[in-house]
Amino acid sequence: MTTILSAKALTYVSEAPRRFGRRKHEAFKLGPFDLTIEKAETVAIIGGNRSGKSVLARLLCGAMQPTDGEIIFHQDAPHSSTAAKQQWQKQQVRMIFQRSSESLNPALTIGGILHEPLKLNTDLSYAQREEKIAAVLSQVGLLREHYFFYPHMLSDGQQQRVAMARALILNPSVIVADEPFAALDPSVRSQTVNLILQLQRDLGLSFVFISHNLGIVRHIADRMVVMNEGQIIEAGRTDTLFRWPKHEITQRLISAHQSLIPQASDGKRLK
Amino acid sequence: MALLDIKNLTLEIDTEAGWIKALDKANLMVKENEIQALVGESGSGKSLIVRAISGGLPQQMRITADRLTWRGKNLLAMNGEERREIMRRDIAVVFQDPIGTLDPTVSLGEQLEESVPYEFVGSGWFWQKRAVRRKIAIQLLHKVGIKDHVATMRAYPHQITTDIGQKFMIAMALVSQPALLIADDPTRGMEATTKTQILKLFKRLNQTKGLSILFVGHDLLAISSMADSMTVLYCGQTVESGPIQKLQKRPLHPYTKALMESAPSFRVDLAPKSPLVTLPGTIPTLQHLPIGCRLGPRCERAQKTCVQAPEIRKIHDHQYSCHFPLHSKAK
Repeated sequence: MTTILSAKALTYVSEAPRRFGRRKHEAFKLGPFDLTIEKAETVAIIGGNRSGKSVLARLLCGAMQPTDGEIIFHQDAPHSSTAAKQQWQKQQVRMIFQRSSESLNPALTIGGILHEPLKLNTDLSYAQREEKIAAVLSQVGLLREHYFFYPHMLSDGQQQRVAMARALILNPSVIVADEPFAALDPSVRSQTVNLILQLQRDLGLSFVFISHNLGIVRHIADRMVVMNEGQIIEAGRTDTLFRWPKHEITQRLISAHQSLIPQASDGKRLK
Repeated sequence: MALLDIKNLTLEIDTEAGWIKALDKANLMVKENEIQALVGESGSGKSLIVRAISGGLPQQMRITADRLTWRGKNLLAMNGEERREIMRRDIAVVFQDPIGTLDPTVSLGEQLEESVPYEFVGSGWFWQKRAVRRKIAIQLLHKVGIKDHVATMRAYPHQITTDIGQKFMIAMALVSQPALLIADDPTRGMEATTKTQILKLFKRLNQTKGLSILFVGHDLLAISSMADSMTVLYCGQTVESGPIQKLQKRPLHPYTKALMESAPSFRVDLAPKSPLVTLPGTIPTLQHLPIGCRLGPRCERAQKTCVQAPEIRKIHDHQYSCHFPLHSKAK
């Protein structure tokens, strides 16, 4: 497997607003830690509230600048200048935000929403963009007609698909998703899971996602990263971590999840 | 005896397209000392049932029911005062979005102390009463697992995290020592450890205090670990209800089966990364409800007769409404 994205000594420090008579102090510190993401693998980030999961996701996709350390993208850019390279790298890592319904602009049609990243990042003509949008809509299982719909006309699952389409439209190699399943209903959730699995199989995408739902993490993730208070406390293959969690916090998370799972009546333990 | 008994609850909303049945003959029964789960997707009318019980529905909705009773007393025939008395002492509701339901201008401690019923405070001078209120509030916070009561009681709703907010709302609901606690999606968006804490708290209250709980939500993993029985709702119709073991082992309605299968943790033999079983399509909007069995268009077992709403059938205490139930050949 080839490494596609790696972070070295990644650090992010946010400072609390200065108050009268007090010195500046750190409000939250992330890292420093190293992290690599391989091609076509799924990495799940789990951890409690305020453990820095969302910050890590935003750092990875370039929505926030790290205080120290660097994020290296291991694929050769088809550009020579540094600025063009950076621009290209940013396109390669795309994000799906936590609540898809709130991250879509209600004043634009789905077509308009999907035009925007193309307008900002590529030199395609209007006709080419239209073609691209039609292709990506069918890729995520929507219809061409949805081009003319406004976000409020779509159901939760369809909005999730639009968010996915917006992430996919620039042909990224890594998709970062912040709790993509949290707000979804069970049946829509399994549809989204299937969609992600299928896209990963077809396009060879790497997928980094944050989730509280350990059942789904176990199902789709290859590797797992457990975070607590801005630090990675444990990382490894999903089945290894589920069976032999080493760190106390991981053990607590896993056992909390396992305690919910019913014991099958025939004595076989569900995993 | 059943604490809460709902039979054929129909709720209609007036829209431009005429009266739409948001709830179509929904049934629900909560017995004493029981944890009953009400399961359904968003838009299936779970919260409408909760609001119908608590009397919080807007005037322009039309409610009709064969039975909507609390300990045998008809809730619909009551006047406002009687109903408020029941809501004040016997039924407690934890609504969705805990932080949104709290008053943003009043500190949490004040809100909790305010909700302590007069009967518990006793008589005395105002400072003595205030001390009793405060003591009750602190005890409650400890009971639901908030350790730092000083900071929490001083905080305003925007300053606390969602899980503290959720626990706080449960504390506020328990203050009147109700007989029934209705919790509307209490574990939404929680991480695993906090979720188990809340579920354990519910279980403990149920066992020690004999509190009945109506647990509304779609987290099947949480529900199956604590609930005694379950009612499944789809688009305002109750599709199946019964003891949770029976529903899990042998679901008769195709929708229940699809719900169960949507949680990967329930399946032992599921290979990692294999596609999950799903129903095609999504839940229909209220304007475009299908006639008859509302699952019809999404159901792979649907046949011509499914355009007529199926009657409720019973196998012991397992009720379902489907023309072509699963396992029907074995019967």
